[in-house]
Amino acid sequence: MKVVIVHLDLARATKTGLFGLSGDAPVQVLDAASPLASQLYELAEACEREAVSVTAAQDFTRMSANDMDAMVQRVAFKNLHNRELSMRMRAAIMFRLCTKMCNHSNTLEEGITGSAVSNQ
Amino acid sequence: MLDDTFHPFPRLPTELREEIWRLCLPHRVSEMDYPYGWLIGGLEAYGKEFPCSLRSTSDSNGRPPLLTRVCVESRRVTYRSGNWVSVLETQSPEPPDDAWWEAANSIDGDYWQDPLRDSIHLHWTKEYEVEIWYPDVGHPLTSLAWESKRLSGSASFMLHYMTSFLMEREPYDRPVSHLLEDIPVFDFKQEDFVALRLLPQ
Repeated sequence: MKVVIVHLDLARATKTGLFGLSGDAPVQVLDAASPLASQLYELAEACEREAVSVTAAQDFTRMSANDMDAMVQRVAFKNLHNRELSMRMRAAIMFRLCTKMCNHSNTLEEGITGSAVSNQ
Repeated sequence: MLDDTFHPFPRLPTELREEIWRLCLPHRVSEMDYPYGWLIGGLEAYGKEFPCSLRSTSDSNGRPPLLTRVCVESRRVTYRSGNWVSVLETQSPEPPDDAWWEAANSIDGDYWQDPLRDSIHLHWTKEYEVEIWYPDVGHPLTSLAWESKRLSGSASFMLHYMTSFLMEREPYDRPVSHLLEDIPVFDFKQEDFVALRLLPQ
């Protein structure tokens, strides 16, 4: 399961309706093929682009839902040796709303220093 | 500016108002344990600073829904459908012995759960024990299966529960020999096998 963080303030997150009607469902696990997953991906990317700079960037590389399903079912089959059980498993993506803006920094300089440290 | 306030709401029959409140309740993913930085980021994130502390989201996720703070009526409706779960008290119905599981990163405070609407998620993988010395007691997937039956029936867990991300990057486009089906699974995976069968389809 891939985990994607959406760094956004609560008021704006609530307006999107993607974290429950009142914005009080901050953890969402969605089928990789769900259209909502695409919307949340785009929201997460937009939020990261909005930051002056980020201390630790997220990797937004996407894999197609079919490939993700194939990977999950492959791993399950290799482990459980049971085709029927492995075919029941579906790839999912977890989206987490975080209002603390953990990886956003206010200055470009801070972000660059943060990245250098995180890559060491 | 458009005023989208629905003024006749208080004049609706109580049953209708309550139904509207119920429709506003969140469908949450109840977490069995706290996620840990780079362990959920996979191989690419190994040893690097993770973009989020993660903990505050888990804490918000365990708080009562917003409707407990709107008015007396919405609060009553919310308390009828969900409840506080205390980590110090035995759950009702009490889980069987083999469904008991605890790890160093288990949720350690009281949290809100709505059995009708919530699904359940497990973050824990063997890497928690191997990489950061977070041991566990009991069987995580059996516990996950039990919790999913107690809640709405949906359950999720991390792919790395079944494969170590440090060992290999799993391909998706290479077929696996069907002959594997004739080979019995390792003894230590039998419990996983049984637990996964218990999960609702």
